[in-house]
Amino acid sequence: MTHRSPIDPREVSRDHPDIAASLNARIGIVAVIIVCQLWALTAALDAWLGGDVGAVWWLLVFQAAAFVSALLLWIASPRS
Amino acid sequence: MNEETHARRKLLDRIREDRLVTRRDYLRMLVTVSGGLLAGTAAVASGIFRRHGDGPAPAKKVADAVAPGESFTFSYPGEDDPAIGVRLADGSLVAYSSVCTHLACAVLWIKDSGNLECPCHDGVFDVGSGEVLAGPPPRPLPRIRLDERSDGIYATGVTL
Ligand code: FES
Repeated sequence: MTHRSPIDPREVSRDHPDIAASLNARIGIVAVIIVCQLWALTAALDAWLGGDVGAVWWLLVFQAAAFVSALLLWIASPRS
Repeated sequence: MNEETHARRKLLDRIREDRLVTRRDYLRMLVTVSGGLLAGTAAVASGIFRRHGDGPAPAKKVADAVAPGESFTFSYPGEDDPAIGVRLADGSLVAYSSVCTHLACAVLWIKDSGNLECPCHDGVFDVGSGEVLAGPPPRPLPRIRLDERSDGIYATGVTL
């Protein structure tokens, strides 16, 4: 059995270039956020093992803010 | 339907199936990864990784007498917290966790070089401060505070 998507991304790009561009931009921004989060995770582990608990909490706040930003970018993304 | 048309149609079906993943789906996957990284950091902050000296640390006798230039090993504060002490040439006593901060090999006192060294990847620590002098260790060694009393040498606490 063949499943067919109700939305064909190629049609979205062709018929709604604004939507496609918006989604591409959001994907790019969230990818950058994830790279920063990867750094924050390693920094938090290093700070924890080094006994710098204050830095760990700040990094956790940063991670939460980064996740909320990514979540909002997804929630507010245009639907076809 | 000839053979070639059938193959083309199957190929098109496969391509269409791939199209089930939309840009919005990619975005959702990335947001899920972001949530995972947040959860990982929360796990670090909650203390799932054990550190040397976690938990209470009452004073504990760790050696009787040590000559200058000699080292001794002990566990402090728990049995799973190996440590190494050294009496320096000037008579002062120092002690550190003997778990290398790189990949947890045992750190050794090398009298000739006057440093604490990790043989696994040639990590070198300053015996006076525990700071990293060379090699890949990312952090200094946790320091064990010592107190020399009339009946021996006591470990009294840990400074990460
Ligand atoms: S484990 Fe000590 S230097 Fe790598």
